[in-house]
Amino acid sequence: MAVDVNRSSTRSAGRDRHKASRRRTTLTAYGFLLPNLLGFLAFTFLPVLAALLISFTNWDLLRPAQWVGLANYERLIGDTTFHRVLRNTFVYVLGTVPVQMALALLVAMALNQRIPGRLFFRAAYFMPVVASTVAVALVWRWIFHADFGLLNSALFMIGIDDPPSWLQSTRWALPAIIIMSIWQQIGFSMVLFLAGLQSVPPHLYEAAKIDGANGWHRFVHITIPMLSSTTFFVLVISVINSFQVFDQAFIMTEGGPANATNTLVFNIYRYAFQFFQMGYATAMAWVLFAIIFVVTVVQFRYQRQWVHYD
Amino acid sequence: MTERMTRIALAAVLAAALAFAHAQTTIVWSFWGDPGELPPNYEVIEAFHAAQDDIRIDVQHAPWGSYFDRIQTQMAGGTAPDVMFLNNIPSYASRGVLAPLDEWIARDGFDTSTYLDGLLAIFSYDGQSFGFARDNDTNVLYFNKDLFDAAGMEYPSADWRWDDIREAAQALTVRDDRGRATQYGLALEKNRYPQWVYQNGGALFDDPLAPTEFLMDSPEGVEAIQFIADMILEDGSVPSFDAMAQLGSTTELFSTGRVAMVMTNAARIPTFMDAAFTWDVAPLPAGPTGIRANTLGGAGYVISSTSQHPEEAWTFLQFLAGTEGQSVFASTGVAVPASYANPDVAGAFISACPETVSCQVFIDETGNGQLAPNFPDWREIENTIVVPHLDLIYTGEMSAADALASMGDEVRRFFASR
Repeated sequence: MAVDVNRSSTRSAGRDRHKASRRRTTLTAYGFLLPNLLGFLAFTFLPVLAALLISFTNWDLLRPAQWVGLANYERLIGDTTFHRVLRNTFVYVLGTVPVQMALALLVAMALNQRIPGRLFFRAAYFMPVVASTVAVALVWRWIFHADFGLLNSALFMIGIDDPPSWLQSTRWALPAIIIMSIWQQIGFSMVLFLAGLQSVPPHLYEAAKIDGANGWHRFVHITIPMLSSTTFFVLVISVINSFQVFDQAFIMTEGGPANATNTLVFNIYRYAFQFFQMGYATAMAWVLFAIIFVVTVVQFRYQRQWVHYD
Repeated sequence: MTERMTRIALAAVLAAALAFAHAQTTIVWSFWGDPGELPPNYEVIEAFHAAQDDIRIDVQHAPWGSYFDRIQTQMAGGTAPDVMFLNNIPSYASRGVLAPLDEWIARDGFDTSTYLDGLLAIFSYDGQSFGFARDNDTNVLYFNKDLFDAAGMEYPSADWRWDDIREAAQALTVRDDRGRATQYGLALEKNRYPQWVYQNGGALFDDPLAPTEFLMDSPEGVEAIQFIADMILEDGSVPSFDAMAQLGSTTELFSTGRVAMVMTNAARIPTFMDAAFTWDVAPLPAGPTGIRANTLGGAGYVISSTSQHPEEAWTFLQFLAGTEGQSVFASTGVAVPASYANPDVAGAFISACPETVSCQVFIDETGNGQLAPNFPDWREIENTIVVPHLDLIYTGEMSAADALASMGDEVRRFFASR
């Protein structure tokens, strides 16, 4: 869409022709955007706006909604379960995203080498991403079983007599879900990192090698900066996805024991579809939206300091 | 000539068809269920169609997972089915989407006396009746005879009390060399805690349908919950509820012989009949002072307040809730009929129940059913306050006394905020 306008300082007829063609280009562009835009308006923007309105009411799906002003938001302030849920969600995001990204980068670098079975490993690491969360969660529920699970049997073999009871413990249930999520998400980030790594021009490494840079220097001064735009994308997407964690808690623990794994989206689901408090649920959804919005804006604002596009 | 006759004949057929169609009213009946649960529903419809010619039944079926979303949407749009199979009646009745039945019941003299009082109560709201339960979720004690025999123990008897079952559960628990239970004595279902509180002479609220006071944190309530926790934590004879999410439900544990006793309902009978061991049922043990209590509750039939054919819907509802409809479901033998005091209906259940099982126990235990809380806010209170506190007791992080005290504070604060 970058059309140079200043060049047409010649005759007016030429300018008009130029204008007409520009208008056509613009219309064509909007024409291509339209289907997607309509979808966005109808299925994302309007529902989000409607949710904002609902959050100021006490709608229960059946009776006509009554305007309650900020009452739902005031209720959030004193709701200790909601505070717990917020904390759980932040712990989950902070526990999942950095570890998952670091491991994904490691795996991507390993699988970017010419090693035997490289394709197999790439597929293997990507498999959890395409596997259904329900199936995966059911398997992990068994892995985490306190007495007979795979994990604790392994811990017992290496001499840990008193391993945590994972999903049955208010202290270890959330870490257990974080561990599973890391395993599940590595593949997605890995694929993006792999693509990023393959677009780093090999001559940079060769030149650095000639200049005497060792592996670590090459990683810090070439790989990291050259990958920064990929890293930024992976970070933004991972953070947004992690804030929306739901399936794991829904299937593995139902938010328990004692709300230890209750997350924002799971709590929203309960209030909306189990207790029929649409107003309160949408108020929580808007808090989630605000959190994700602010976090993402901050990420975009600070990207200049470390992200290089070239 | 022939053409004219054909026309007349056609017109006659058409007129007859129209007249016939006009005389019949079609109403919609909705229910949920897995494919295996559906045949009795169609059997009832056939029986109803055979019994009269005026009303035809159309079916709206959805699996459990999507049933309620669909019904809610239809209610909001004023197009709910005429007759619905539904649970949590007060939460719907309070929103005005169900038709009250008292006038019809009085006008037609429909006999409600064979129904358990509590089951009539949970289908009421604000003093009005809104429907009838189909069956009651009666619990019994299933026990694996082979495991009792192997341990050289006597089978559970009708005069067992809490201490008896606790001792038996301990004796029937088998551990491996690392101390892990490979066979549990007893498995429970997490949502059955009210019956334990009742057996100990306690209560959850002063009135389970219109509560003004929370009573579960009384000494009787504390003792009952602590008793369950002790069997899980101290004795290790009962698997923790979180562990059961991984080990399997009461059904799976019992049918694979990994637990000697379970407390659950009649729906398990067909599964257990396939088990590779012999088993029977006994009444639930009485509390320490001899109080008997059982679960009371079940889904049932209601009429939509927006039905275009309320009279026809009521006619069908009477059939469903009467001797004929109840007998059809009772004769599946997988649920204790709600009108359990109707001898024909109870007889249909007993004769469908396997001969090797003491089926009368189900009917007798139904009489001990006691109302669990059932009011519009209960689901939120139970999920956000009661269950998280019970979790802390069952994981051993808090004593029942402390956790229930804190639970009581929060429930009272909840009521105060409304």
